[in-house]
Amino acid sequence: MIPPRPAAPPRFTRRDAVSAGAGALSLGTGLFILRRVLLPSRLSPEERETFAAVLDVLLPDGTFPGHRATGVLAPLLSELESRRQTRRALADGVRLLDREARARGAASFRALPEPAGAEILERWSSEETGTIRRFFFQVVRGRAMELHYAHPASWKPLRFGGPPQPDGHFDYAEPPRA
Amino acid sequence: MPEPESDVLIVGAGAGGLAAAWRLVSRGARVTLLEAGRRYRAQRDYPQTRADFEIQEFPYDALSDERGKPRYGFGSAQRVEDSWRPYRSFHAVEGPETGDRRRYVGYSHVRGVGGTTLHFQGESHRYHPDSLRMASLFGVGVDWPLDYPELERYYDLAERCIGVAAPSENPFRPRASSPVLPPHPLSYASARLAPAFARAGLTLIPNALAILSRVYAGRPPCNYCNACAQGCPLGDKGSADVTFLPAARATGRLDLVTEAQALRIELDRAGKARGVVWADAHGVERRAAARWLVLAGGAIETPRLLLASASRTFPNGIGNGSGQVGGNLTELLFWAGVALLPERVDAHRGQPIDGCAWNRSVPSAHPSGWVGGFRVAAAHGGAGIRGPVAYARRFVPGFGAAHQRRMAELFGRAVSVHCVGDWLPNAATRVDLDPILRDRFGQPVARITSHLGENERRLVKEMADTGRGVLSGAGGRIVEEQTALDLFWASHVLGTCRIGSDPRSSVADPGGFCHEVPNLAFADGSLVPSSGSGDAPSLTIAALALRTADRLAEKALGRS
Repeated sequence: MIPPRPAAPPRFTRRDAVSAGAGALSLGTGLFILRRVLLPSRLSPEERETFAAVLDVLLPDGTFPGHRATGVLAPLLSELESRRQTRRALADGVRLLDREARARGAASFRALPEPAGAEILERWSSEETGTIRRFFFQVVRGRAMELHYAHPASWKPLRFGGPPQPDGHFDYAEPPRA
Repeated sequence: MPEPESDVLIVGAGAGGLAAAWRLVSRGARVTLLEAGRRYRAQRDYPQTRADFEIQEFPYDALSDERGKPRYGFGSAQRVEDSWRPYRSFHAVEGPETGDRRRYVGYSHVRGVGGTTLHFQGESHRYHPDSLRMASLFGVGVDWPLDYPELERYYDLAERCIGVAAPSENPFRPRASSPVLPPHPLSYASARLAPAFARAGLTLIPNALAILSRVYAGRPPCNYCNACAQGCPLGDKGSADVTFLPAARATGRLDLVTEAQALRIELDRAGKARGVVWADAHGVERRAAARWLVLAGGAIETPRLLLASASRTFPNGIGNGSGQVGGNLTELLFWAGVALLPERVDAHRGQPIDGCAWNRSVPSAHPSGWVGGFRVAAAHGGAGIRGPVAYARRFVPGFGAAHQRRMAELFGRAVSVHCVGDWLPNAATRVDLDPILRDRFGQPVARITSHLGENERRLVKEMADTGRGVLSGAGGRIVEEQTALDLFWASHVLGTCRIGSDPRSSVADPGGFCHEVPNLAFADGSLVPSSGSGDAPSLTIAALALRTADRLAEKALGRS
């Protein structure tokens, strides 16, 4: 009769090492996806200032009412941060703007003189479709313009009379009033 | 299946379903009407009094439901060939809208009491008589199994019910009777374009509109807010919920059930329809029975329901022995351009598509190789020219102080011309069941596949050249073009259960009843076998539905 062999002490084999490595990699990838894609990526206070500076370039307050008069910043940020499709683009776009500004010797995008900021955005607007820069520009410009020109404070310089109801346009067959 | 409580069960409360319901209850039938959507209330739901009205749409998401589930899917997208590129869609702010393939933007429709008439732009057209004889005249498509005088009687009836304002003289759409209401005068912006239309050989006249020009049937006239697509807040636009529905309800014989999604049709052993299994808003399955069943869910949903109701008796779907259910889909063949004029015209006032030129909408075989016709319309509101947002978003590029100055300079100068033309049925353009996507009830959604044939491609180019000529001739600078060559943006979907004498090439018989299920009829765009030469189809859908309802009343009630 062969006596039973004593159980071998647990060993950390190469297979265990590979499994542990793969597990750690999966966990890391999962956390990365969770952090970068699924979890809200809110801008820091400094980044929010950079975003406000973008709006200053797009819709400046001056001769005409700008974005501060129509209150575009808060709803636009809230909207972009709440949507999965746009919050990465928002965060990446703002960080890329600050990086480009630093490459020009400024502390951040908001520290750039206005023509330099406009020059960067102009370049982003004509980048190839599908790039993060072009997407950021399109989304931010498009929605900012919508919110701005849907606000009564923007209408006076255009001589636009506002919502079509309840009065309608009984003068529709006549020339526009001066 | 419960015992029938109604003579007729109708699925779908749109232009056709409500017209058929009204006709049936008026003739003494008891009707149950199932509608997948809800009832909309103008004061609560429509946005035209809000400051941000311009960034609001009709309160219905056509792509997905409130739980994010898809309403339909799309098949493969056709490649945009190099020769089409001079005609590709673009706008001044963001450039070309598409890449190497046609883009499925969406199927423009509404589920709700009134259906797509809730957000249609009021166009109320009669087909040209030759559109009913495309096969015998030109060797394309099919002929209708009824003659024009019969259809015209139902056009007259539908116009009286709806309240249509139209010109009495239109040589390209002759009519035996006078219109119910006088036409609306052209807007200032459209009148400004009229000479350019004339130089292009086109006569711009007021459009035929289901929009009241006078008080009619207790409804007020239009106040020209130009926002029909957001829902009519006054009730002057003849959507089916303010025309056929109140009249039908007044009889006391209509039972309308909202938020009732039809899941499948049930048949008896003899192969006749017994009723419909439907789900309520909470997803609870219920049954409705009737001696007669009328499908009126539109040219996308009606074939979906038939195909989703496959059984041992009908393994390929009900009524689909010939494989025709879902086939022969015709859709909106369009070109639309926006231009900025040298001066201000304020085209945001008026009606969305207030003027129309019919000169080229008589079907013909054109020397350059296409068959059919198209109409050319002044369609400022149709292009979404409602206020400053459209300018900033689409027509005036740039940003900053220079952009603000340009906005002040250019606002009020945009005008639009639309061309809409014939779409001939082809084998590749159809509706079937999506193999993957399911709705919230676990049912396969309809899959729409669109493919432009050679005729459509040639016709779109002709339409684009014509539209560009009008806009340029008016001194305009074109800032936007959208075209069916690279966008699927269909609203005028028709033909997927078309009417015909031959069961091998049609789903419904000449009376509008299913060839294979004798107590099942159709009352929606799926019946309409040709697209018309640019005609908006809602009046034709209503007219055919009224005709089918008359046939059904004779069968069900024994009254002529």
